[in-house]
Amino acid sequence: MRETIKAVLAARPGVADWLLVELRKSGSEIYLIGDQTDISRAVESLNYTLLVYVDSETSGQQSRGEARVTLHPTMSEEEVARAVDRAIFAASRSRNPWYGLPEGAPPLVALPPGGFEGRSPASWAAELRDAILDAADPSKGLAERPGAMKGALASAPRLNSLELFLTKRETRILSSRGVDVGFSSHEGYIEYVVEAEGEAGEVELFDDLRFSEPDFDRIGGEIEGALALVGERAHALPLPALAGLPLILGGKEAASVLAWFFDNADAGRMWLGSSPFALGASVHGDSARAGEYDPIELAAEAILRGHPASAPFDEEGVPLARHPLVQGGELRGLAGSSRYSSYLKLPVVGGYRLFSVGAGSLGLEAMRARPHLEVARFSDFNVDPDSGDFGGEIRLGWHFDGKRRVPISGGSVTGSLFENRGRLRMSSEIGLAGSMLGPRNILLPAVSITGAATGG
Amino acid sequence: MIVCPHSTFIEGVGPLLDGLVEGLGRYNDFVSVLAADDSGLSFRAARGETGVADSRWVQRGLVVRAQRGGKVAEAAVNLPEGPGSEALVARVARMLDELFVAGAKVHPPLPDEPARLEARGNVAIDPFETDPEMALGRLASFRDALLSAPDIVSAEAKADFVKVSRAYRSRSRALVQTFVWDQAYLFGVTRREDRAKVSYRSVSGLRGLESLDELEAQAPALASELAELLGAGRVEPGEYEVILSPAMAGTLAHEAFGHGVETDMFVKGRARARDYIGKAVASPMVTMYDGASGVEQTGSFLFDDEGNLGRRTTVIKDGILVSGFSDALSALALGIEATGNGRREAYDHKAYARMTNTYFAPGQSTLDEMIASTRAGWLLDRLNSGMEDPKNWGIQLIALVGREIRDGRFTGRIASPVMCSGYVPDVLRSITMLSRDFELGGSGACGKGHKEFVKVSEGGPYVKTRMRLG
Repeated sequence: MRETIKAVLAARPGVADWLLVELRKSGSEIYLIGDQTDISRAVESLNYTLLVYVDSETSGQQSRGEARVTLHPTMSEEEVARAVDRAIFAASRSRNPWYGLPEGAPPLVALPPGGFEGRSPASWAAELRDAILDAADPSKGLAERPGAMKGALASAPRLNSLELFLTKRETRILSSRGVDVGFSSHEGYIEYVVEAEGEAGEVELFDDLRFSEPDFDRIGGEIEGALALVGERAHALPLPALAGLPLILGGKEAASVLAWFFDNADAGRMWLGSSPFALGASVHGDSARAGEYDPIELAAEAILRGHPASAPFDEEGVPLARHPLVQGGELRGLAGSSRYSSYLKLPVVGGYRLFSVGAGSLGLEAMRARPHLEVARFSDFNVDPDSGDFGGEIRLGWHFDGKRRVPISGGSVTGSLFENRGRLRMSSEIGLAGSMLGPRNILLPAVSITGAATGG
Repeated sequence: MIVCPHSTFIEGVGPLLDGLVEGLGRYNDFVSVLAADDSGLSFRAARGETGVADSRWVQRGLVVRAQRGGKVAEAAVNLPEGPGSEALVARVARMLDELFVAGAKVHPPLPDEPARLEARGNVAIDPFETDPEMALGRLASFRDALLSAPDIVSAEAKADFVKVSRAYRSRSRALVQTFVWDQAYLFGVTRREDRAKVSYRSVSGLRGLESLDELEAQAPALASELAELLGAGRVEPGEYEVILSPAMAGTLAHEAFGHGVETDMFVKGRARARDYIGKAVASPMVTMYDGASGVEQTGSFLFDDEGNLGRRTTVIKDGILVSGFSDALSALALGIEATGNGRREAYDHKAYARMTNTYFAPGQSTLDEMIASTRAGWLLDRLNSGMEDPKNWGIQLIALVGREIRDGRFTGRIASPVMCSGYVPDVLRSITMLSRDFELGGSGACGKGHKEFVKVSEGGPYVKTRMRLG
């Protein structure tokens, strides 16, 4: 198929450049209800994404159009040719400022073996399932407690359901500019629901985890942590009406707030006018005062150990490495595709999916020392990349009034990163969450809190 | 109107599907195959650029479902195995053999009622046969109109057209369908100093490029709204009377008793609604439906991804919870009929019980009457997102535009964004008015949890109720 596509392209002189991404996937999926397999699935697929570039000149001004087309391995040569011709025609109808594609280059970093190599995804999936069920076994924790009762076992937090995916991904990237690179990785994903009995009935929490290594301690630890949290939700009180308290976030929610800085340090968003940042200016805003915030140190990362989005090349075949973007709170560089980097006359460093943020100044215990609201799980925590508005309905959190730390549920928080970026505090503890290696917790001082009504 | 032809792949795939059903049928009690060949175009005009790409919904492949000794497994492939079906049968048989593991659930026998049906949709202006320059030129003009307004720093106009072409085979069923759905957006970002706000307009349906006329008509209102939003504040946290626009109300229906009555959630014990069938869950004036038939929007189809025919399900009738909607496996587990709601993100994804077109039935009021009846509240519009909590009946909706109402009149005050939350039965029981309007919108996608996105639509009338805002 690859050769067919290349032959079709070679016969079409109107194509100024092309870029072909081949992705072969082989995966195994297990769907559990309780501890029983409800259904199992296997997936084997191969897909090709082709970009064709067509140049034109109007009044001495050179322009370039591109079109993307998906090619399937079951396509005949005639179908491929037709699809490519349609893409060429479509590309000829876009006349954007000209830019060049990156030349082929060797990798700057090596993707380390994840540990799933050598056995089939189905075999590993079965082992992962068993490990997760072991971590979720409600009798495990109780057995270690003296005087554990059978009744306690029946009402102990438990796994409601689990979806487990393990996929081997083989990527190859080729281009008319000499790019020909390939790499292989495994992507693991679990989505799970845990539940517990409370005074007002059963409650649940939903979570998910992406991983690239058979790190049973990490995966089991996530499940055990979720079971502990749902046990807290079972006894949580409705969030009271509160005002003037800072908000502490952790895990993926903290990562999604810090991702706002990463997402806006992007050449594409800068070119399109969406990014509020400027090179050389503070990402904390002009009014931020030294000492009132933790200056962000942010870098785009090719590889974060254990994260399945780790890759030695971006989608254009640009070799990736660690690339600092924000230093001392100041925007020093932009990541992004060759197109937008070229438009902004910046060096092409590639498009990144992962990032790191340096540790902040406060330990979590210090963050928690003053009255605050801390939220561990939302229904759906939302950070708008353009407006900087964030918020969500609370499923589990804690209110600390200076004396007591009480689990709470219901109600919501909202805020704006424009109002918080100049007073943002980050924890000194770091860890992997979302697409980030960075502070495990952040503190946002300017939020609006809506209490939960009683009832229900 | 132009009738949509089936894709070449779907036209020719029948013998391969028959070969798979027959060949794998020798080893399994039940075999079905879904073939999908969805093509699509995405036209886009953003600041300083235009472009054409395949839609993200493009796919071509097969998924085989097999039942053996009650256990159910699926194998999804898109790789060619040469002419004929023998090699593919052998490959899929190998994949399935590895999946029928000890200890897996024994399901009741999958039904296979006879049916042979074919459906083809139609469009006025075929996006796949029209010069892309036409769509790009129009989208660029919409974009430029937005960017010419003060303080709008970024604007994007986008239109997607997807031709869904699917075939389903089992021993007793042969189904084929092809239709086009569309969605188009105008999106703008406005920014002044340390304030930025966003808003949009969207259209959707089962149409071709003619949909751009509807989008164009909405551009001036979006520019005005973005200008207003720079002055937007926040709602003081508390409980208010709210009037939800049809899009917001549809999402309330979707999140409250859409996800909450997907019957695979019943099987997992994740939906409290299971215990409320036949009981009052909403104001007596509330009736709510979900269905792939009866309306023409992006959640419409002839048959679902498990070969069951789409229909309309009455979820709530006069405030009483009547029924959930089902995929095939949860219907089997619960001993109920499958309602044609078994849907997959793509051929290589699992089928779940999913919504299609979900909406409240209209009422008797006018919007003006609803506003006039509001003492202290907000009109909420421009849905940003929603999230369900079927076990604990919480709900989260985010509106990008809130307009304050005091003593029956708009005060001119605007808020953005507005976080709406509440306890689902309280919100639905507090509904006091529904307008005569009826609008459906299908420009978004619905996930199950945080994945498994499928096209749906939602809507209905304006709805007046009470919610917590912040």
